[in-house]
Amino acid sequence: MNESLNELLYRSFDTTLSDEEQQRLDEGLKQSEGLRQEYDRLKTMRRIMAEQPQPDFMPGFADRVLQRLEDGGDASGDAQLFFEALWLSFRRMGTVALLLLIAAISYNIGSSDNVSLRSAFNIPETTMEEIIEPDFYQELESLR
Amino acid sequence: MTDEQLLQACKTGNTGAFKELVMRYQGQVAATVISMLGPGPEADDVGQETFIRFYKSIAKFRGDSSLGTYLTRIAMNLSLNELKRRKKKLSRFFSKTPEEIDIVDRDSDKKWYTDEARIIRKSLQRLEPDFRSVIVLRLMEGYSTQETADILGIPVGTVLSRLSRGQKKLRENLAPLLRESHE
Repeated sequence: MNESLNELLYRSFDTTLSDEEQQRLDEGLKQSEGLRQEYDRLKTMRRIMAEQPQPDFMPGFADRVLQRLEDGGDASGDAQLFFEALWLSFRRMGTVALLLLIAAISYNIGSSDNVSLRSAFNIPETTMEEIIEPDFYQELESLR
Repeated sequence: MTDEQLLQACKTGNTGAFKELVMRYQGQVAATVISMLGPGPEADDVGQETFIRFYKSIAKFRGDSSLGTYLTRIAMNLSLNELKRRKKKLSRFFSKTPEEIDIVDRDSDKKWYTDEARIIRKSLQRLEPDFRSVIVLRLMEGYSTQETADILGIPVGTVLSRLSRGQKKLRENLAPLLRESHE
């Protein structure tokens, strides 16, 4: 089928063709069985689309609108988008942090001899003597 | 009461008048929103938002176009935004676009729609939003090409080319139904 004639056929339903275009289309329709079939299919499709029953919202729609207006109007608009974006950002960062934590724990456990919380988090073994100032530590010891 | 009288009453904060306008035009808004998004809570939500936006900017309505056309424009813009949001959301999890994902029949749809209407709705949902919007406005709601262009804020030439491509895609999707109707 001639593509430019096919294009004219589609346009003819939605706009007025020039005299020359209309003549070309009429001639094409006379001569081409394929174009005539396409014309019929297109006409049928447009009829079916136009005859579709109008859908409607569930009952009580007007009351829901008024209720939303009383509640401030924008219950699920910009605020919802903001919280959604916030949640998505934190979720991404949280996932990355969790993966890094797992990697660090695996490395720590792998590079130490035992499996313990201390080795998992690479906490150095410290004594009270190392944490507290020596003078104060001795004072504490003397009190025992 | 006429639309004009109801509008004047709305401007003074009369919610009763606003409710009357909602009931008068909810069918027209539903036709746009449900055809674009499919039935369900999202469509209901966008429908409500359409009227809320209208109420909040009622002072700006000068009556250049009919109230129905004005509401259709808001409803269409919000529906297209919702489709963009949906696409963004889906693209985080799937490589397919919303149009490529097969729409599952909901039980509620089966109650409301005939088999033919369900096939048409599914075929519509498979069209990209740009094509779907012109098909809905021109073929289903009966707006002229000029009105369709005004509602979408695009040139008439663009409407014509989108209509042409949209109808070709729709015709492929509806091929079994068209064969049946033709026989």
